[in-house]
Amino acid sequence: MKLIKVLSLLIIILVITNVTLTNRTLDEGLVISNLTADLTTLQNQNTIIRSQVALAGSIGRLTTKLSESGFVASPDIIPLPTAPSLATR
Amino acid sequence: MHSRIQTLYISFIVVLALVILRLSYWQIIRGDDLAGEAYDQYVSKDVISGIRGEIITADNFPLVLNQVVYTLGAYLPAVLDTPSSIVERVMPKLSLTIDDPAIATDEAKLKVALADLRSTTESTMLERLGKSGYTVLSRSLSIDEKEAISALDIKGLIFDQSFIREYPESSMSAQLTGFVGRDDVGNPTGYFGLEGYYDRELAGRSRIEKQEKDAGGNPLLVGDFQLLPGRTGRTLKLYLERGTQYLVEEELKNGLELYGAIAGEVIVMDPKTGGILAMASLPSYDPAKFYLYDTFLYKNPAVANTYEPGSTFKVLVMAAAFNEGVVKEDDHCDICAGPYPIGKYNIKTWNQEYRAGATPVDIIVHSDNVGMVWTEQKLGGEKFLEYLKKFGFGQKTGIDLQEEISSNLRTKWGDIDYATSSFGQGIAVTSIQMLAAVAAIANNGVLMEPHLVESVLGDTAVAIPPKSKGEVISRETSQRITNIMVQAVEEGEAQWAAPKGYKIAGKTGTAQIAVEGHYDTQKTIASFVGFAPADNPRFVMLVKLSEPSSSQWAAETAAPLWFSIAQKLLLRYNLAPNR
Repeated sequence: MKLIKVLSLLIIILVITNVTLTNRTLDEGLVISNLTADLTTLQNQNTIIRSQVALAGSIGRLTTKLSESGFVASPDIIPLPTAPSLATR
Repeated sequence: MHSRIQTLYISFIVVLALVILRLSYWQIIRGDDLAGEAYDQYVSKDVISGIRGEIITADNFPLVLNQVVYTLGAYLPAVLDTPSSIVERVMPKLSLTIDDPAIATDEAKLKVALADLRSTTESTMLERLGKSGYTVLSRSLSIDEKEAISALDIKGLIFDQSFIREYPESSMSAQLTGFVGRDDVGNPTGYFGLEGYYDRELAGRSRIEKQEKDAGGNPLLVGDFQLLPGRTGRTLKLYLERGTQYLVEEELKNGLELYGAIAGEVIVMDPKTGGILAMASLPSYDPAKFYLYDTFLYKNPAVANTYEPGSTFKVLVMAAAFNEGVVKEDDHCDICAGPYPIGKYNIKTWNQEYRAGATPVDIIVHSDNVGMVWTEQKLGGEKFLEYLKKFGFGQKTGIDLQEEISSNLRTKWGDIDYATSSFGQGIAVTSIQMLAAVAAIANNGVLMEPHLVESVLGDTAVAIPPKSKGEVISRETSQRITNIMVQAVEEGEAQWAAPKGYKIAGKTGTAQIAVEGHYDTQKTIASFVGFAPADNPRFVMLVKLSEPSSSQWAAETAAPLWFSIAQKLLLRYNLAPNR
């Protein structure tokens, strides 16, 4: 009779432990699932922002912006020699 | 009575045997199949496409990257609204565009085409919403379109995420990057250029998640769970410089207009590493809408097309003759007084001017065809072929572009073949072969393998070291031939266009184009190849213009374009004039 009581108690403890652990696993699974979803969203946002930054900073776009702002390429660029001029010799 | 019981007993045995046999059939013979089918019913499989790697320039600007797009689908058993109601609400949120530039730039045509497209899209959606199961309603939606449709809160609509390639510099480098299309089973696959060559490195690996779920679709935590982790594709970092590439593209575009050429190429390479700093060709295509263009435009002409190099080839033959010691600077050509007969042919100079006793310097500076025949004869046919191979002709250069071809050398050589090849006619080369060969002169005689990718970036960065293909000519020979190329620039036909104050080595080449077994007298390929500064080259560059109409001569077309680009590159690299 005593043995039956001990076994019954053991079974009840095991059931409670099982339910508790399963519940915790479920909670943590949901947290991980949400974190995975957040990670995917952030990665997508990162991809989109990288693309937007690249488009905004592309040379073609910058050239258009500069041109619209009134900048023009100099028709004559004269590179100066590194050798000292007569005056500084 | 006994016999009836016995009969009943036997009947039971037979029925039991039949049941056992049937169960054995289902459990032993069909067991695996049924277990598989059951597994498919309670296991869900989520596949998330891997992101393809990017292509970035040497200065870390993206040349090719990814953009998120969505496919709008409908799971019809979950749809509560009527098809017409869904279409009516979704259609205004879609941004319909016409890709074809011929229509997109014509306002009247565009209006009609958009109305047609809207009508077709509506009827397709209505038809698909009338089916059962899952159906795709629209593809390639932007994030804004996706959010606008999501806000409508229509039950049963599903968005699947995928990625498409984006080209922020939207440039003529299409023939360099290649494009991403779909293979036979619909997987993204790189074609041509870098996308094709490095497809395995660039391709991402899909994330596959398998999990047992209950009838409500909730995960069974004690059930089976398998995860094949995804991986983003590796990124390619190039030797290519964004600023240099843009400069070259703009100059080529202007050059083509100025000289009326039908096509053109410019390649800029670092002679010390073989790294390609810029590579542009026209006509080109838009890699994002590659399907709108003729397929012949997909191949990079610098590596996939051959041409007869003309006089640019002379410096290589002269370098070979110098290296073998069969010709020296103070030697005099003894056949240069007039046209030189070989069999039934007469070898003439390009301008019908002849210089008796011309030196090697005269021969290169004045681009003397007869003088080159003399040089080749001094060198001998066997050595001539040996040097062709050592300079990399007749084989692929090894550049990391998918469509590179090898220009095969002829198998039978007659006297006339040696003679014409010495001045670059009757021999076919690719632009990259020609550039790599001249780069060997700039690199103290060492031939480098041309390369676009400097390193492959992933979990760990893998650098691709410069690859030497051996010494073709000695350092001393390379300096001697460089000096002659400098004189060719300063005293040759294109001297007026050369930037002042810089020591530049180069050579023009005007090659006639073979058409139906003879050379067209009007059509030419004008090219200029050279390097600067000559003493310590920062870059070696080839400019090639096909069929220029303003003049057929390279000295009046390709050479000025080369010098115009070179002047800007010298500024870009902070190289001041040194004399």
